Amino acid sequence: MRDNIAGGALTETTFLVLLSTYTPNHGYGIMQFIERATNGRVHLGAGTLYGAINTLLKKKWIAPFGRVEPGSSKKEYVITDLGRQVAEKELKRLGELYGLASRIIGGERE
Amino acid sequence: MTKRVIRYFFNFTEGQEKWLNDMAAKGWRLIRCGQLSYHFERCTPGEYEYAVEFVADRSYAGSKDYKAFLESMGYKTFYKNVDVGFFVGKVSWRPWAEVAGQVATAPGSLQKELIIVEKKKDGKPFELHTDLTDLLALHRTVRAAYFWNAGSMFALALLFLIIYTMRVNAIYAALGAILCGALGWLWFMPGLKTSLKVRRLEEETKTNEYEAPSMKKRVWSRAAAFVIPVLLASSVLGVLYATGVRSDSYMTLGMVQTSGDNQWKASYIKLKGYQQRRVTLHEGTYTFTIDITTKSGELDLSITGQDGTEYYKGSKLPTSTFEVQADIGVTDQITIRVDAKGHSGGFTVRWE
Repeated sequence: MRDNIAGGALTETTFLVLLSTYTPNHGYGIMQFIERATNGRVHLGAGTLYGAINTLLKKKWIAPFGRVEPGSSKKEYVITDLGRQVAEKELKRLGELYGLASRIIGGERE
Repeated sequence: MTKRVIRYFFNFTEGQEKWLNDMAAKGWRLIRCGQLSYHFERCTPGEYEYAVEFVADRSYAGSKDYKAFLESMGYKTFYKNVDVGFFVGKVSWRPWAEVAGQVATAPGSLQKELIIVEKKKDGKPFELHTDLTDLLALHRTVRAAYFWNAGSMFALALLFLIIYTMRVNAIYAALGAILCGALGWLWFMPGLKTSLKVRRLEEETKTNEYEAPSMKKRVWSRAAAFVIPVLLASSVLGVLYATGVRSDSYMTLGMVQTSGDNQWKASYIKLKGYQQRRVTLHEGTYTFTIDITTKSGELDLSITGQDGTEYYKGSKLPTSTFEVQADIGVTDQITIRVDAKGHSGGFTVRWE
C-alpha cells in the first residue's frame, strides 16, 4: 500500500491495521480489534487482511513481534517507529479534513 | 454417511463456490477433494459455508503461508486444482503470476491453484476480500487466468484447424479443433463475467478509496494475458508457413519412400501436398512405367521437361498401371511431380 502521493491519505484498511498493532497483535486479534473498534462497521476479510499485513511488513510500518515458533501460524505483529510517524501524519490529515467538513456541512445546517 | 462426486469446474471460482455452498445447504460437508472428485460427509444443512480462493498467482511458499494464515483465522482449508495432471503434465507456465509463481511444478504449486475455505456459519457474511484495492487486484488476476486458459485452447483449436485443412488425419484434427474450441469457450465465459466485474470495480475506484497498483505490474499482467497467446499462436503459424514454402510441401502419415537412379517409389497412409524429383536423362527414348494405388483421396502426376515440354500429365489417378513413352531430343532435366489431396495408397514411377 503506497502512500497516496497527492494527499498522503492512507486507505482505511491500512490505517486500521496500524492502529490495531499499537499493542502486539496476531491476525485474528487484528480482525476482531477492527470489528470491535468500528462497532462492526468495518469487517476485514481474511484475504484482505493477509495482503495488508504483508504489505505493511514489506514497508516496515509493522514488524514481527516476539519469538516465532516454527510451524506456528499465530504470528504477532507490532507497529514500528516509521509506522507511528505515518499514523500520526494520517491523524493530522484526518483532523484537518474533519475540521473542514464540520465547518461546511455543519455551517449549512445552521 | 459419505459420498463421492465426480466433477470438474471450468468456472472454477464462482461456479465451484456456488456448488459447494449448495451442497452444504443440502447437508453435505466437504472432507476431501481429488483432482476430479469431491468427498462429502453428512452435516446439518446450512452449518458450513465455502469460499474459493485463487492462489495460483502466488509462489508455492506464499500460498502455503497464506493457507496457514487462513487456518490460524479459524477456517478449514483444502488445496484444489484447476490444471488436471494427467493431461497437462508436470510443469505449467503462468505468465500472469508473480515472478516466483510463474513456473508451477508437481510436486509443488501445480494442481494447487485454489484454496477452498470452509467457515462455520455465524450469521456474518463470509467475505475473504473486503476492500476495493484488494478485490480489483484479485479479479484482474483471475480474469487473466481464465483468458490465458481460453486463449491457449483457442490457439490449439486453430492449430488443429490448420492441420484439418491439410487433410492429414482430418477426422481427428476436426475433433481436436471442436474439443479445444469448446474447452476454450468454457473458460472464456467465466473470464468475460470476471471482466464485467472488473469493469464495475474500476468504475468505483473513481470515487471510492483505492490505491492503484504500479504501472509496471499492470502492463506486465496485460501483456501476459493478451499478448503472449497471440505471439505463441503466430509463431506456430510462422513455423507452419516456413515449412510450407520449400520446393516439396507435404504432410504425410506413415510414409515409406525409396528413390534411386531409375525409380521413385512411395507408399503411405495419408499424403497431402506436393513432392517432386528431378532426373537428368540423356538423348533417347524412355519408357516410364507408372503404378498407382488409390484407396481414397486424389493424386495427380506429371512429367515435365526443363523447357516445359509435357511428357505426361494425369489427374485424379485411379489404381492402375500404365506406360508412358518419352522421346528426349537433347539431354534434359525432367521433373516428376505428384500432387496429393488426402491421398491414401502409393505410387511407383520407373524409367528406362
